[in-house]
Amino acid sequence: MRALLLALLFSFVALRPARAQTPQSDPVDALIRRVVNAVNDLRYTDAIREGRELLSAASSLRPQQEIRLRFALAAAYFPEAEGVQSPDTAVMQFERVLRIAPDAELPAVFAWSGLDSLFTIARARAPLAAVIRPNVDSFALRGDSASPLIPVVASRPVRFRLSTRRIGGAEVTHSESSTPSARAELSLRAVDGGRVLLESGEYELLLTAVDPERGDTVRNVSRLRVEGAAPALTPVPMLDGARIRPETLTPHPWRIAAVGGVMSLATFVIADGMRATGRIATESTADSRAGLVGLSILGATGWAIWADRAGTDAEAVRLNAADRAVHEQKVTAVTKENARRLAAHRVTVQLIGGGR
Amino acid sequence: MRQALLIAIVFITTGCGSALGQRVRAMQSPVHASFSAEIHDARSFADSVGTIAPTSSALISLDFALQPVERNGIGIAGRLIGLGADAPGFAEGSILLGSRRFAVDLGLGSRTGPDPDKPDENPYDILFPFAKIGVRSRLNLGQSPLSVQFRAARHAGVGSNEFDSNFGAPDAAGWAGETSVSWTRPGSPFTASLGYRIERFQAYRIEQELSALTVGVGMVFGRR
Repeated sequence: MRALLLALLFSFVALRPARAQTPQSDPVDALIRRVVNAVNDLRYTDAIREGRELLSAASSLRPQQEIRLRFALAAAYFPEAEGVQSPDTAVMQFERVLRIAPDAELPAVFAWSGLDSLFTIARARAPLAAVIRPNVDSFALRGDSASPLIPVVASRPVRFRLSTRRIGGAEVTHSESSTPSARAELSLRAVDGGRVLLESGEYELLLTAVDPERGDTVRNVSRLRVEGAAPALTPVPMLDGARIRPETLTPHPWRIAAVGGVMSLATFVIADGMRATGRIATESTADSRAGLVGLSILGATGWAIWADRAGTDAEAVRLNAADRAVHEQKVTAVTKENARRLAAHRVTVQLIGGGR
Repeated sequence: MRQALLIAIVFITTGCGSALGQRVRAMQSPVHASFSAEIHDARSFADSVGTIAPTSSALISLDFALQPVERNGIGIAGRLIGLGADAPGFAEGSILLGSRRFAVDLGLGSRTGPDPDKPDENPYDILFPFAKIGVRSRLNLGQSPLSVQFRAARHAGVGSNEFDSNFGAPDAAGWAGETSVSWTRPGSPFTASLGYRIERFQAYRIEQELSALTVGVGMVFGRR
């Protein structure tokens, strides 16, 4: 419907002999110029009628076109001639302008003291607004560098924060913040903190403006299309806790005594219990050397109890340190390689929708 | 001479392997592997028509085991005892169910035993295959480099032996038990042991008893 309306307007402009026709490639600009001319010719009713017709297709207008059109409409709603002034409607147009361009100034062509004052009032009353105003539509971005600076403006001093969120995703990744100011230049990053922030896909570009004095916040959302596959990163190895040995020694004398005692006793038991049962048993004696071994085990047990003291297990400490050093080397190597891959990560960022 | 050569090989291997052993030990392998060579100063008796008198002999034993340290699992083990035509010979292989601390020992093996025709002259001439079931355990004595081992098994003859006689079925059977204490050099795989082994064997109702003081060296890999 809007397209049909615009088509009718364009054909109307083309067929009608223009009074002050200037070379214009964009027919919408010509239509806006007609509204401006109507204001200059004091034909406010015509200006308002034609301007509102154009605004009915406002989503098809470029921001600068809409701004100029709304300024013209505001001037038509609040002319110098008393009796036909409609200040509330004019202020409403100013507020819409300030939402699109928080730093907009009233064009000199419409300026007069009353309208200047009204615009000042509108600026003071307007809710907080912040917009992104990129200089380019697309740019290349490497992992080891920031993007070209992206200008951002707000209707009053704010703290800006530029973030991205993958379409359909929940995680918001912050790229850069600013100190309080009405204007700032922020940049995007494809990589930060060892993570890939931008890879192939569509993203929302979020500009958050926080007024630190009044405490109000506004968020402007536009869209990005990113081309560039994320690099394959090697997972950083974790230190296996099961490989770390206890470094403190706890004495267990009773346990040692039990083990050694049972083993010593077992020596005597098998030496006698596993002997042959016939003539060999009756005509010979058990091997006395079993006693030597049994007593040796008892002696070893006593020494082990004496030696089993609380303290630091130096060997465990040394081996753990060696394990940790090996692990650190692996982590360093993986981190370095991942950093190299991240630094080489390259994406092309295209801004596909202005924030409104 | 051959015994001395074998012991020399084991010593050289142990010494050269200590650096390797350290690295392997540092890996904190959950698998415990041990290789050892022992000299058995053996005293043997054979029940026969003659006088019961002990016979002394020196036997060589080669032993290996590979099994989980702490968690239960399946391990393997094998052993050769003997050396020389007149000495008892013994070979066995086992599946170990459990851990190094305690495992059930299921195995097959063969042992030389008496010729029933001439048990006095040929006490170790016939090969008797056997199956065995037993237990084995190796426990550390605290944080010290000492550990103690225990093995006990029941042997039962299986299959047929090579001797066809008029003495009926051999009904081979026996028991074997062993304890030892080992010292493992801290930070290296080198280990030395002192132990006692006794074995009772019977075939064709002829009993034999073999007891030995064992002294061995070897290597141990994996966690203590």
